[in-house]
Amino acid sequence: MLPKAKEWYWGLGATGATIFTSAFSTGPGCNGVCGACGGTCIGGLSAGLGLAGLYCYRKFKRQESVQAGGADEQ
Amino acid sequence: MHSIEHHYKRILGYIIGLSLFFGPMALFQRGLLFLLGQTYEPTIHTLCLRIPIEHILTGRFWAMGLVSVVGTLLLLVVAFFCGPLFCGKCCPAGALPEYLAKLLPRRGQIEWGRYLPLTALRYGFLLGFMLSPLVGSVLACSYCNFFVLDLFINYVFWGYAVAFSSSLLLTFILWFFVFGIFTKGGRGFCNFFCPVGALQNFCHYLGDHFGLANKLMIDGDKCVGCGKCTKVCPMEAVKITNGQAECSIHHCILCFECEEICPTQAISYGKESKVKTHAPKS
Repeated sequence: MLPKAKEWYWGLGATGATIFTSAFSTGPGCNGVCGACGGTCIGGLSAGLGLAGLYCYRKFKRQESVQAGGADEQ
Repeated sequence: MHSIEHHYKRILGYIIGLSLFFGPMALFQRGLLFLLGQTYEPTIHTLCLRIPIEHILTGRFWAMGLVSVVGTLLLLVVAFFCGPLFCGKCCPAGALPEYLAKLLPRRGQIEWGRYLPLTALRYGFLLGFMLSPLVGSVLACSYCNFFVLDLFINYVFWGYAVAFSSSLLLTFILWFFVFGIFTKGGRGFCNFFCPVGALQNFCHYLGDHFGLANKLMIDGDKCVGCGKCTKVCPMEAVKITNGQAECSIHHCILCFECEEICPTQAISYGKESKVKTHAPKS
């Protein structure tokens, strides 16, 4: 049950990240597309993706080292 | 046998999709505008599927453009009874990276499902997308791969490259590269960022829950767990669990790639009562 619940924490994280990113488009005159402001929406999403990427990379490396440890034991 | 005919049919479907939904032809929009007695110029934005979805929770769904509302309702009703046929049969924005991803070696592509809970992230993004108007923002255009493809067809080739600015440039990079050709199956963007696909899959799930929907089913007696279906699935919807293939209704786009490649014809499309199934509901 816990892993399933944990999965939905990710879902809530995605919801939060999406709302957070969308908040960048609440500036005056922003249509979320044009880029006239210098692209703050890129900044928001890049930051979110960067953090998610870092997390995945760490998870991947941890998984890799666990697998390597298992192979050594065999 | 993975037949060439199946691929030809799929590619033909996407070409038809291109002429149905994208300018300058936009035949679907033209037809709907004619039937609804409206006269404005049909473009991809005439039939925006994202904006009505974004406004479901705000209650402004019905206030969106008439063509968009009718088109979105049509799409969701079809998805409820038959599944997301639009994605698997005629969405060119999903098909382009999928087919280009086939040209790259598999070892250079990321299998996101190995590291991330795809279903939770998919519906999480959809929920965030639908909640964003409640905090006063808009996301529909920022992450629209339909818009990006339209820019390619109708603007960039005519010298209007400046259209690729800000969030759309990032959407292009995500759709085409990160979650496109460098993702196993090429449909990572569909899996993570497409609210239209996510809502269709959710409607399909509801249709299946009430026993009204047709879906892909795997006959447990015939399945030998060879894993060929998992390799060809562009959405990472098929997995092998305990030597049996399982197809997730939350990701399957009914492209029928798995049905085509199955050596024992264990996969079929229909209502659940017809065949013994091992397909999970979640």
